[in-house]
Amino acid sequence: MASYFGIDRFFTFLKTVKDAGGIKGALYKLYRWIEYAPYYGLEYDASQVPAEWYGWLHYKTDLTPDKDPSRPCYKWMLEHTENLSGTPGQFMPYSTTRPKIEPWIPPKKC
Amino acid sequence: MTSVSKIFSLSKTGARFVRPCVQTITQRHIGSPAKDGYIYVNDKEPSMDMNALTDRAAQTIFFTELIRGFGVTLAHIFKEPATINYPFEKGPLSPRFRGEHALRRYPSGEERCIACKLCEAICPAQAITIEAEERADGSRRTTRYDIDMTKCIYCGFCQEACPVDAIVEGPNFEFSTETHEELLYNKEKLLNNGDKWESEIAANIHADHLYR
Repeated sequence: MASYFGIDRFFTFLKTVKDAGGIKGALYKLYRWIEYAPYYGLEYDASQVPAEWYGWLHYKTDLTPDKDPSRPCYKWMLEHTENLSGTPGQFMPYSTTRPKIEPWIPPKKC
Repeated sequence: MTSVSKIFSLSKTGARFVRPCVQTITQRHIGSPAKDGYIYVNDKEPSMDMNALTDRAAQTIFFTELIRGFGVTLAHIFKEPATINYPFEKGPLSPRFRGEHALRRYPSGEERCIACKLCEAICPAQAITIEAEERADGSRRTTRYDIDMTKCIYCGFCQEACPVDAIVEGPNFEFSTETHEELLYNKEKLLNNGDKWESEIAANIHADHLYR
């Protein structure tokens, strides 16, 4: 017993279900449910849900992103990525400034 | 020494030892029956001789306990589950939730942070490091904006101190990492966070705009 609400860019279904198993589903409230895209296999992770769906999934709003006119869409906004920790794409910190101490490079004798 | 002897004398009388406080109450009332319209309405003190005591204990342990246990089990079948099925279902969250940090941009794409260092000054954990320089066009911008996410206590003072809404604590809490250094965020990472989560950050700020 599910009503489909949307499918995000990564082909993950997001839907409301009334199905908590057994008779409980018929008695109680609606749940918002993620059905991860099949190509994730067993590697599904909650951080794979894109940011626009985040508010709907956390019961902050009842408007899905396609029905919410107040959500901004600027050209500098980036594609959502999952948590890449433990993969080659993980973030590694680096300094964004010039080094304060620059080593003296001895002049070459020709 | 006196307290020790008092405990000893208390334990000498067996019934008193079992229920000392109730015993003292009934002692006061049993001697005064319903003369002058006074009626004792509290629970009657159960008989405390050995026979009655063991009978009651046996009933509680072997018989009613079982039935009451089944009753609790049955009630829990009809209760709403207290757990959620996390990676498929997520709990409710406030728009004010303080999660992973992000640096925001103006709609034009210009970064908001002007390197006023108020967040650095207010940070109680001193997790923020800022260095500023003049940019090529003459505006004041940060060259370094590092947050040590392992020092951060997620108090939200930085976003309250920020005069231009640049540093915000976004809604994301799924940024756990395998190593420590991945959590030493620099400016690039924070701006990327802002660009990724802008839709949700803007929605949260809009949801709360009446209270700011």
